Amino acid sequence: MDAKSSQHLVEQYLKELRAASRGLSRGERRELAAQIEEHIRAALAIMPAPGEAGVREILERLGDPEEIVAEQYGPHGARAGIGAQAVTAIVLLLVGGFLAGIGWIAGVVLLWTSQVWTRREKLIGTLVVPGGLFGAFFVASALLVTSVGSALADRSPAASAARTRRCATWSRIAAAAPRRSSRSSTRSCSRS
Amino acid sequence: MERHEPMLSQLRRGVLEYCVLAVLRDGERYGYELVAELGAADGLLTSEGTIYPLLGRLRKDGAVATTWRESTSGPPRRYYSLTARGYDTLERFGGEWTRFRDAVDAILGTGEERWTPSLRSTSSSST
Repeated sequence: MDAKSSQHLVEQYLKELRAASRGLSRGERRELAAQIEEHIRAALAIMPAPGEAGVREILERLGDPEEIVAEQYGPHGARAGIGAQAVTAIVLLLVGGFLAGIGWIAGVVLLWTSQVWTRREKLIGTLVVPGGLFGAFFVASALLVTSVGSALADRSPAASAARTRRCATWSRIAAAAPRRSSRSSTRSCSRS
Repeated sequence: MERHEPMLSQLRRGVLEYCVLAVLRDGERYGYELVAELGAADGLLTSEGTIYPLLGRLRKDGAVATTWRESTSGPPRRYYSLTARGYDTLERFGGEWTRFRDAVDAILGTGEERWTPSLRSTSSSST
């Protein structure tokens, strides 16, 4: 029972350490976790009777995981260093798609060169956020371009010929449909 | 004697890495040994774990190298040793530290002669 709760204490501590070191690079994070694990093992090996109290003492002497990370990587870990770059990256990722698309690309570059996020978060930031807004913008602008384009094309003589053909098609379709709708569609065709 | 933790933590942050290098000058150590030795020096190490990110950085900077060695109990341990670069860094720090310490001692009056209120009275008498 005691061994089990000791192990649980260590696991809990390592979990906190992993959480505290989220702002570090993957390599740094792994190294730190391995070092701390090794320390705990070495300390336990030296203890004459390493019970739960012993484990607690070892962990207490190691210190708060947050503090361990902060001592080397800043007051709240590298993660807290959300500076101008990170803020710019977020803004560009969200609305950069409206700056001729280039804004979004710049946002992605800033995102990946930033130290603030983990690789996984960067991947999510690249795929999910623009997939929503940038994608939506892209679709909207594509629709806008085609509708403006066809409106302009409608003024040319060739287009009016095409329109006549379309109207004829519409009339034929409308003829097959119930009366009321056929009348409205022929009326709009004749008016133009 | 009562310790003034905020003051100390600033100082410690500045010198701890050189103390690590200095311990390693006497030969390679594994993490826990290093911690035990530094912990024995008063006020140098409060949270033992803080040594590990520091060791990671020193290794990245090339001041310290790691090797794996079998241990009598459990899995192999990583041993830290001083590289030529680390040795240079330590030498340079030694020189700087002496000058720095002397300069601070001179200003605080904590060197050869202890600081006394007479310091103030001599400066006021000269005006």
